[in-house]
Amino acid sequence: MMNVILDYLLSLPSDIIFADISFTIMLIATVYFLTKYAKWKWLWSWITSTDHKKIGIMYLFVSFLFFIRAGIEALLIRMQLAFPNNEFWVFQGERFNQLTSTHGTVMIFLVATPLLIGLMNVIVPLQIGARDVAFPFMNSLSLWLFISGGILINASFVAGGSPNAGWTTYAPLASKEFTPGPGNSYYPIGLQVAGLGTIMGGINFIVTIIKMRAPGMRFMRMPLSTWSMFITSILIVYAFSALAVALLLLTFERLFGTVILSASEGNPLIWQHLFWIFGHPEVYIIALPAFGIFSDVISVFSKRKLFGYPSMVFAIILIGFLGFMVWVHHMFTVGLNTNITIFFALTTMLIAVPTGIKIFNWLFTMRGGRIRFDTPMLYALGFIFTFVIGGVTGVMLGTVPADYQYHDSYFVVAHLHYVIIGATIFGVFSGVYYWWPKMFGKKLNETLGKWNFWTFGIGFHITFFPMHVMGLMGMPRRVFTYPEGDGLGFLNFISTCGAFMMGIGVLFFMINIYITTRYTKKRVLNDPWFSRGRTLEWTIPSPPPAYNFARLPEVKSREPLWDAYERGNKNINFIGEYEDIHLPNSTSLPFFMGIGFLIASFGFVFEIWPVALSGMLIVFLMMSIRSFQQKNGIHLPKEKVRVQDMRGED
Amino acid sequence: MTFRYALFVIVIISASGCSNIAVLNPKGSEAQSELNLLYLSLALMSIVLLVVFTLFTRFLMKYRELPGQENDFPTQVNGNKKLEITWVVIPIAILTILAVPTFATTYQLDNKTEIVREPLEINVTAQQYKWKFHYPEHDITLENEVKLPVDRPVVFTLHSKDVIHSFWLPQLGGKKDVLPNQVNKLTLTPLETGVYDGKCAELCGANHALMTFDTTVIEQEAFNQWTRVADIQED
Amino acid sequence: METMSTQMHLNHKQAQMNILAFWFLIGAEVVVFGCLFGIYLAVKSLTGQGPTPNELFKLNEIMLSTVVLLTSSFTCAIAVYFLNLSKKLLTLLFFLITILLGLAFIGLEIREFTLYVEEGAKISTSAFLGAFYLLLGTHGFHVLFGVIWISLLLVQLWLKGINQETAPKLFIASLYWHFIDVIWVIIFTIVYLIGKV
Repeated sequence: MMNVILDYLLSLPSDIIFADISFTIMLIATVYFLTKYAKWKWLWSWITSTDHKKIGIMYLFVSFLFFIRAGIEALLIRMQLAFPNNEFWVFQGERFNQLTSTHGTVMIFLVATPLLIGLMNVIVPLQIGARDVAFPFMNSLSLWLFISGGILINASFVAGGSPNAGWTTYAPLASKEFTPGPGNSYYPIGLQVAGLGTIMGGINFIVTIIKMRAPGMRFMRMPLSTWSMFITSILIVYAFSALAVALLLLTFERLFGTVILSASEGNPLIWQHLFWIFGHPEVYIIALPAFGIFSDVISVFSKRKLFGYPSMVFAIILIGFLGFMVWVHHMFTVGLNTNITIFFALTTMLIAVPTGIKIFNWLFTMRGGRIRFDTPMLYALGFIFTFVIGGVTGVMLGTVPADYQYHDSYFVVAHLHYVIIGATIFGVFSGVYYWWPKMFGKKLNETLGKWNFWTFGIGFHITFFPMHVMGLMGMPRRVFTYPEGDGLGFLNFISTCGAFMMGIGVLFFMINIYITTRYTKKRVLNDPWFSRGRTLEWTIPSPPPAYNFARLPEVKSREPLWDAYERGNKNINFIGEYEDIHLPNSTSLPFFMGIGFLIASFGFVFEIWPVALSGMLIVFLMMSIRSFQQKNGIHLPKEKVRVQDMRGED
Repeated sequence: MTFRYALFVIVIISASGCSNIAVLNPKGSEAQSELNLLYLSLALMSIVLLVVFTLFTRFLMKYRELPGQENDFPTQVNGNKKLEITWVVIPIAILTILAVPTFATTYQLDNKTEIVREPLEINVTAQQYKWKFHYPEHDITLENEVKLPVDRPVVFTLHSKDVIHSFWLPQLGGKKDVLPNQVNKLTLTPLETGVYDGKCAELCGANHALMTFDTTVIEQEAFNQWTRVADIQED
Repeated sequence: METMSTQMHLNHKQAQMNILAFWFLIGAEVVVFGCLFGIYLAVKSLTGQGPTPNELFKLNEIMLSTVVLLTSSFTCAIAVYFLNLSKKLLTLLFFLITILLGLAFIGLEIREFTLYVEEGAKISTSAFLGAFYLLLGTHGFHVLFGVIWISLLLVQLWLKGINQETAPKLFIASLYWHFIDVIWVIIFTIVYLIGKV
């Protein structure tokens, strides 16, 4: 028996053995440390938590793990492409396609989107003066569905092969006829589970923002972060449902033999339409919250009111709306009718207008201010610089005939990284540095923060700027090699160096977290940013109590805290009375539902129906239990709240 | 500002290898009109970049917090209608300048197939990792290479046997997808003789990177000569 | 608490939030079915070796399913009417009729599908049939989900009576039931009636 297992293990390719070993080591280390420090109970309390702040932090943590994984993949891709005709490790051909496909899929669906949802979870209730989200149970369920789908896609590498038809997974390459292994089944099934969680999250935040704002917090008084996350939630609900259908279609195609996307009997372009009807709004789903974060950060670190608030809100809404009408610009070369092409070129160019409004409003917010260059602000400024470049290449891509040249070349690769890293990843870094004190009560180290920003930022430009030129030199996307004579070697090598520099930047971030958590003793005030805070989250202790607001604030303007500062007060007046506070129970059901979905998904991927069925049964059982549960929650008597609140103010 | 310095260095370095940049070195009339648009959009966008970066640098230098200003309360403004209208109107104007030639060129390129006179017809069949070129006029078939006469429009009729590919000859013109369920046409007019790289631009499987072809553009005379010889050989 | 009317239960803040969330879920479902209709219309003519819609559909039997489902929507509305009057047993009875009609609909649909498959119209036969089964199957699955969901709620209603917990749930379930009914009307029109023309 042992021999059989050993033989099997030795027959695996070296990269998979490596992945298996490193995974096992990490698992053992985790278990060891949890046991050594007796942290299992603590872990369970997090797993079963329904506190939006904890859920947000778990979202951030898990997506950061995925970020590391997909980042390592990016480094492997760059290693393979560093020299012409290179043969790095095993990453040629098929293996290379698996790398690029999972890198893209993980980064978009399991990093960019959930990182922002994590920040949404932490911030939205605090900014609108709420004690929780509308549906705490569903919130936890969203998290566990995301983790479940994420594990599935991440496990594919060692369990049967990864998706290998690109993150866009175009049919018919993605159909069973051309990619028979389980790889491309992981893609629709894993994303379906994660996507379901995302839709729930979207609905949750829409309702939270509509129904749970503090007294006096009108729509036009909401901070920009909340506004952008509100519009994003709406986009999520509609865009991810389109994705759900696309994924369902692909699942049927692979599992049950439908021929809707087949070349001979169906129409493969249906996939492209459905995918991009989702895919373009997705770009704004991950960009808008970042825009919101930058609006708050720039305003706070410039000590200035946001310039043109109404037009900023209007621009977000317009971008969200137009985002649904530009999808064909991903398909200019498929040979559609010219009039259709022209229409979508027009809408694509139009979207530059609201984006321009935002850029100039940010610039003029800084004018006349007192700008401080702390890490969150550095990331915001780096964003403006980077995103403007990404934005103008976007307009260039919208000029159809020129797009015939750029399309599917490295020019597009450069453009998409400029906008997605420039907006989303910079936005998340900015937001994490900005709200870290609110989440953990300690400020991240500034020196290391600056090192983190400059290495990551400069590395970013070194990596991706040359890619514009590589595209114009005729390097198509997703190639695993290029011939010697094309003159692409030098730029590719520079790009690879830049990628490693970005990696070092991320290392600085990790070191920063470690050092801050381990060695920083100092607890911060309600508003750690030098009394520059403007919005409600800075009026409560850092970290806030489970119920956030002991007494509800009454909001009379857009920037209640800043107005209080200007009047010479230290904090806003909380006018509400102390009252009994109701907090949701912790619950393990979402965790087990996640496990149920995970089991079911493996069953579906490998087409073992009993396994799939038993997984679905677990899910159904949990749902039934939930339906019958008494939802008493925890009641905090008002006396206790009052005492805690008084202690907090000292 | 270190940022921009790094960027600057990279631009200089890449500019030194400019003759390598296929898209900027067009050898066909379609590639030329596409390049004209690239330059137009780049010029217009450079204006945008210039304005934004100037304001950006100026505001950052001028309004940074100096020692002693920590407790300042700078004046707070809500916005400025005139300025806000300005940055709606000017981008729209710039986009209009860009949109008109874009749309005109799109119509021109997309409908070229119907307009061109006496084009050379070539049927292109793509299949996982090779290109087949069939000249129906002369009944010649080539694999992974294609010969074209200079100054004569060529209509490629594109079809795929398996998955989606994309036909790209950067120096002669932009791409067109090669679909298995639909026939696409692409017109290219080479203006100079020479050998140009052709490639597949849509991920099509393991050896996508190796799915390339050589394009040789030769004088009309030589081309006629070649078709005659090749035709006889094939018989 | 006992004297509170159903309307007051529905006006409670949590109930209001649930109902709002449900409307957005309906929005998502509209996109889902919109896309499925889009796919169906795009490949309707791609019948390949299989039968065309006109050859396949038997309108009489589908009329029966339609009547069954529309009646269930009617009984569901009556159930909500009694829910508003806080009449537990009548509410229970009419919801029970609703789910029985729902089950009958599912039975008829399964029968229809087996008949088609026996005639050689399988899911893999043509793109048209794939899209047909995908659309109808998704709808059928929604009906099944509704049946199970309402059954669970009825057990709760039986045990706990009409209260702040059960009333909003039943109300939302009724909205859901009407929604899948509306989808069926659109399916009936676009798939069956137009398919027969």
